[in-house]
Amino acid sequence: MAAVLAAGFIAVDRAATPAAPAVDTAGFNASVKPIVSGTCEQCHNASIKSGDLNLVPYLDPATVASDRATWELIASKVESGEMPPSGVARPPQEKMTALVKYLRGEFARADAAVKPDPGRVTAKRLNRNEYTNTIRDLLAVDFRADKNFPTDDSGYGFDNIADILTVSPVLMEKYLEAAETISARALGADPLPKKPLEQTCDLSTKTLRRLDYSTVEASQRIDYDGDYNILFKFPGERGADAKPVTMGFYMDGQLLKSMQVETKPSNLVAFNPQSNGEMTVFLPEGDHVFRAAFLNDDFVAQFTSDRDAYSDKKNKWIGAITFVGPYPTKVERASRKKILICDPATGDACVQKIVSQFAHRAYRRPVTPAEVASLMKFVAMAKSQGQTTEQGIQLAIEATLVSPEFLFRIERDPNPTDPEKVHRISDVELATRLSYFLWSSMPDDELLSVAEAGKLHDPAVLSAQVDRMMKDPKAEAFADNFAGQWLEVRNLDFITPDAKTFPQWNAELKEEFRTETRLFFQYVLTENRPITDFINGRYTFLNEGLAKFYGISGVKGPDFRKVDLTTDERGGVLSQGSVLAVSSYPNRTSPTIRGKYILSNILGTPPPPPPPDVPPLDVSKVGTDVSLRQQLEAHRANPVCASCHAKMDVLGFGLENYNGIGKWRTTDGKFPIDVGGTMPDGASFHTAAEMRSVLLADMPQFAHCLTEKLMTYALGRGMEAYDARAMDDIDKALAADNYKFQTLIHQVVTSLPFQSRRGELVSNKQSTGEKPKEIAQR
Amino acid sequence: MIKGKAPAMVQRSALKRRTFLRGIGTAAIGLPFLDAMSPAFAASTAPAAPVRMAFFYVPNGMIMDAWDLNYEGKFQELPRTLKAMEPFKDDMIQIGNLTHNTGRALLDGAGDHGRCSGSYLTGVQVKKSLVDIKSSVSFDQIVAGEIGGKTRFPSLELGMEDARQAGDCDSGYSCAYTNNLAWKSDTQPLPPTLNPRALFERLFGTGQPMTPEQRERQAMTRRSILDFVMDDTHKLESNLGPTDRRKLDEYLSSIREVETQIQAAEKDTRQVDPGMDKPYGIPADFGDHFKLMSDMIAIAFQSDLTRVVTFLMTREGSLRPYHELGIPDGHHPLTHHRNQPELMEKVRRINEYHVQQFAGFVKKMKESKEGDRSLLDNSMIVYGAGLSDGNAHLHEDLPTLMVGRGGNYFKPGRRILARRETPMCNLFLTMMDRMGVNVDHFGDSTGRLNCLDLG
Amino acid sequence: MPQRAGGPSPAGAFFDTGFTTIDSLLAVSLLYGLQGKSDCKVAAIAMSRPNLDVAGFVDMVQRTYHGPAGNFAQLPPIGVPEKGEPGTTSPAFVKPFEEKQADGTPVYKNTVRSLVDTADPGTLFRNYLEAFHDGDAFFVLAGPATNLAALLDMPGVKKLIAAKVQRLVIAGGAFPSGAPDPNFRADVPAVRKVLAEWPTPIVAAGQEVGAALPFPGASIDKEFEEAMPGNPVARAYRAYQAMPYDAPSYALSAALYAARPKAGYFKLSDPGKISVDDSGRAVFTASAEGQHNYLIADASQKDAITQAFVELASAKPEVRRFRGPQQLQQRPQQPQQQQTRQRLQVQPQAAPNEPAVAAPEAAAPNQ
Repeated sequence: MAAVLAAGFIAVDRAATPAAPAVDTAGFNASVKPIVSGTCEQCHNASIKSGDLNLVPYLDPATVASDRATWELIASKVESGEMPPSGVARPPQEKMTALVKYLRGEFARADAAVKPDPGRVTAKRLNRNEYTNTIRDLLAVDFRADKNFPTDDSGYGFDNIADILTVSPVLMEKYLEAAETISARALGADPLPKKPLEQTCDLSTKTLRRLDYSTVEASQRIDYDGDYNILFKFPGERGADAKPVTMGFYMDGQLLKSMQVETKPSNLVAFNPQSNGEMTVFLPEGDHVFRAAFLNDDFVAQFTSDRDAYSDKKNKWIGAITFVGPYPTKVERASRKKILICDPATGDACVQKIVSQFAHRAYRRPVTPAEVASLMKFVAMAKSQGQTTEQGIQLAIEATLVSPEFLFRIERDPNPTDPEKVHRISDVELATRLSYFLWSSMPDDELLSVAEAGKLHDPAVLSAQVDRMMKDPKAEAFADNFAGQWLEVRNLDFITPDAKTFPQWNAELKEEFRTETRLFFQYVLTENRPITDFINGRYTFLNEGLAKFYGISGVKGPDFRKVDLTTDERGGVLSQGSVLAVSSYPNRTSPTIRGKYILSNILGTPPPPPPPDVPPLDVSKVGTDVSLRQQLEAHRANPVCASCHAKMDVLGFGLENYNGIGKWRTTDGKFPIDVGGTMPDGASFHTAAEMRSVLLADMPQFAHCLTEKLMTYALGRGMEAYDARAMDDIDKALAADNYKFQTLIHQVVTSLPFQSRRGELVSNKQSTGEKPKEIAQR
Repeated sequence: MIKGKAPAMVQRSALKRRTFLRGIGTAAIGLPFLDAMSPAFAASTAPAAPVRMAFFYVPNGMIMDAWDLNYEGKFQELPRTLKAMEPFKDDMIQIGNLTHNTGRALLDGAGDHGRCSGSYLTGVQVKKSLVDIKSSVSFDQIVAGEIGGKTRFPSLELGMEDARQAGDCDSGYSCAYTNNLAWKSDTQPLPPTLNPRALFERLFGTGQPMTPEQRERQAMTRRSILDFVMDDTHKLESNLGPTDRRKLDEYLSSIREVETQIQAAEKDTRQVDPGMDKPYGIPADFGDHFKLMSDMIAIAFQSDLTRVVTFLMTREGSLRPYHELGIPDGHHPLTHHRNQPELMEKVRRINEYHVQQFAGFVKKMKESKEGDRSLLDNSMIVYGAGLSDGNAHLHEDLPTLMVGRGGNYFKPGRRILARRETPMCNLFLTMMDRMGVNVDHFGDSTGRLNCLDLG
Repeated sequence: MPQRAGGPSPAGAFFDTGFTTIDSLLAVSLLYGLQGKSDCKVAAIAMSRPNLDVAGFVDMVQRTYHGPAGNFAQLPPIGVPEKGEPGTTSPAFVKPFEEKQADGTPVYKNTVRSLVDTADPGTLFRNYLEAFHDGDAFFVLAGPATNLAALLDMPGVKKLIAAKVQRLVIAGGAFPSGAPDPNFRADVPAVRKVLAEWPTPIVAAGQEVGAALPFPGASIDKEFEEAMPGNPVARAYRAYQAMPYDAPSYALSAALYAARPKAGYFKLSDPGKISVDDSGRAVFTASAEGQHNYLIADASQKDAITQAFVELASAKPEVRRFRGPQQLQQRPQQPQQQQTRQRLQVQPQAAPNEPAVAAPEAAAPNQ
């Protein structure tokens, strides 16, 4: 329920569930009421509302049924020992245990009485990643929706939540334009300019940015698919004994090509020595970020000042990049092969075939003759305007790409407005759910044909498909989009570490962080490792640069490979640079943010907002008069703060050995790092490694957290009260199979909410936004 | 909430099928506003030089001691944050005491950043939810809905900071509330355009000139495609649940909006010369980025491509550090300075820096002539924030600077104080009057703000 | 969601008066005293005449009781109408400002320089009413009904009042019959409009009630001085007229009943309908479905009431502060919630200013 709780109470659509059994009032008055009114209410009352929670209304037993979410929260807080916080007179333990026991009992009774409810998923438009990938798989066209469309809003930490994916006029315009360019590019219909164009980015005009002494970056628009000659200028020269370096040329973080660059004096020119380089690459249309870097360029380590680094007597660097093109590319466009499955010249039968086959794949389902006919109108229209058949096909494609059948994933209900009617979704709908879950893209031909043959709901077939899909390279999207958001690695693009505080931070490191976590996640998935590896895997994925940064020797070269961890310094995602960097401030660590990160993403118990009038915490003194730790401990002397910070800060401090960008350290300013801490439930640790063990000890909680995140991502909706049962079943099955990650995936795919849906209670969803108990002047 | 006809309705009724799509994405041989537009306006009742309005929104409140003045009436010494506006002293009014009661907690607890951003132009208290978002039509969109048909673009939504994708942007408020200022409907925020290049191409076309034939063909194509998807959607809509249908209605209304834009483009076939190069991507430097965006706003205003602009400079809760000023800390954490002088000073410098950028835009507006006036004289540019004291999250005395004369209507050059608790929406009503859109009530307004003219 | 859960919380007190008699000022002290007991939360005070001197004084009194307006605890302005007669200014509202400290600086500062330092009464009431749960607020009117009549004309506000307000208590009239009421006469159309259109039950505290319960003036030099030396209200009381005197308690009685309707201080008339004639005379007509009642002074309660007057009005303001652990531990465990709430002597903050994201370290910001 974490998401629900984090959100405060999301109106639960209990439509499909009969009235729960009456709450055991006697038990409530015996084991709950005295504690709530005697202890909890001191802070959780109308005037203080610690954690935004007023418990006075919850002295009514009925609320155990009517507001399950809040009682779940209470139960978990008491169980974990977080509540009541230290500093508050604490009732005897057996009383607390009795309270939890009573609540859990009531929940179980309620669930048992409730008819299973799959909930329903709203019609979902493709988000930017899904659009990009779908175009890639549908047409083999490289189109970057994230560069062209407005950012998708997200909910529950994921950007594929149906309810919040809206369509705006601006987006509609973009869909139209995109359909035009994509269809044109797919058929290669857009003519290249007669003469190749030339664009130069250099340091003098600031069109080329220096990232460090060996790396430059340029944002460059490429207007046409095609081959381009890339010309490099290398000003300066290094010592006579200087070794040649390898220069890598990247587009949007992807290595395109690399070349050797001689750095020692050419002895050809006396003044302003400079050499050139050239390479030819295919570049797709779009706004791109290009980067050129001398890889593992130890030579520049000696430089302390720009003056030396950019003196053409002392050093050689990358001074300018020139793009010359486009030239017609030698390679025949894959997109044409995908579309022109026969020769349109042979007549309408073939054109018909082409159009219907395309619509079939674009709509991710069989198409009706009527649909094909309405698309064929465009071919006719083109002809009537004296255009070619191919241009007609291009029009039909253009139209298909703005159709709601393509842009939205819509599942049909026999009884759209009857919440009582639960039905299994069709095999074809299941195929689409599956492919967007694991690939963030459309089903491939095999998946679709299995589904259309009506075999996909067969457990054996389904399981085989899931196995196949997890192995497919396209599953990288699952790492990028699920792990990228679950572990917040995506935020690497938004953080801006302070260059002075963290000189090692640069674009390369950022990409290496990203790659490490992605490869790690993919490994756990494809090798079917237990999810415990996320907490304390004894291996990770490194290249030379990242290994150096981590202080791990023996890794050579730019390629990443699996490296076993021999020391206790690192293990699991919580010790990976990506996670540590995104959970810090630009210029220092924040144990609170890191603690919140662990609570939210590992333990699934995000902290509530702070109470009113939080007393000031003088961070200005930190590092000088007192350590941050002393500061926060003083802060925690107050029980209202302690209630959350006791756990949050202890966990956060467990990671203090890693600085603001994840480098290992033993002191902070002039203070030695003190990692040790004791959790509210008494478990204590002295090192980051021991903390990981403490987290491992509570495997079920982490497993449940991951289950919930996966379900949210897989379904594209938040978890509601009625999903508790499905998730509990998954948790059990997962634990029974030693927490194997693939088991978790299979369990999600076979769960009731993933396989079924129901009608919608009309009244309930027409939420007016007015407060349930208050009328607002609207 | 607006009484009488809802803006959405206005557009539906204005919708005509079979529109001809000339003009979209055409480029460039330019004419200044008046001469070019007079034919286009021959039919319409609008004045020769229309009034334009824009909102420039800055987040996380301000350090008020550097913004406020301790007097009313004619400007003497400007406060520190406004120093850069010195040359435009006589073109602006600083308005004090305006309040957004709907930004306050009322009964919704924590989340002032999400709330103040959500209520800023809508005047309602937005629903505290992560996905079931619920706001209301923002007043700029009411104006756009009423007069937008007269220009190629009913309104422009611009910004400079990429949207947060956290989901929860403030204590249970969806990021939709902080990522967007303008709302087309209760559930449909209008995402700002961030990329100068995207804005350029939207306003002035891709730069590849098209022959009339090409344009005509593109028009026919788009028209028939829109027809096609409309029919598709109508077929789809039958037999769907209410929420699914709502999604498709958003899609449909967006298609209609594109069509009405196309209609406007048909009326107005001018080819506007931006007089600037097509920008490439998003500059890293805040000032460079702002200049590109605001230059294009000025051009769009001058050539009457639109009359309504909302500009979300950065969003509430923005963590952007200001390396431009040597400030490595994120903006939002800084504003919770808890009265530590050194932190407050950094915030003051950020506030100053924002206004310096804005002053550059005002200069351009003032230098553009329109008949015997300046473009600025015919505009209402509001520079404001949704919080006053960002540390305490106060929603009263919101920093509000009205620049321009709204068509020689305002009497600028002074600071005026509304009475305390006066709703911000009262200012909106007055601005809607100037835009020729008359509604009797908006949001939590209690009347018009009457002290802006000779009052 | 939890923070939306209604339930018993201190009811919001909205007070509208002309501040022509000293007891209306005592009523302010009384309401703050009740707030200290968590029996109400002083939401907004407005006056029915545009007299800035008086407004400045009341504003100062409110600042004194409310304590410094720190983070998240903003001080509401005083509501003052733009139109109307300023009327006379009693020395009660002027004298205290003349008092100097040892170093010659004034004891109290008047920060109301012009109308812009005050709020439109209707807007003020509307804005602050939004911050209370349904049925969780009450109005006290001790003056001309001009402001409340205007409030009723604001869009959507009747609906708001109907939902949020328990009752309106009007200090005025004479029941079952008596002399015309100067406040009613001051704006007959307004009081008629309120009696006709106000969407909640209305209870009148007639002049005879206030007259029967004189406020013990002796307490000014005793209880008031003990609790809070130099209380500006005490100073005003002394300056109002020659001491010693016992002021009638029109507004006081109305406020006490409004905040503690169930305390049994007063008897309540049968339901009926109050109307006002052109002379400003109130006329009560009994009827079973009537929405109006009037208070009946109960001799047996006289001492209890005057005692409550003194105890509450003289009480030292409870300035809101963040509670450390000790305070929590010291508190005895008591089961009943009623006592629990009284036990927590925490002044509720001004509701419209609850904080959200707090100090970055003290609470994780949404990153």
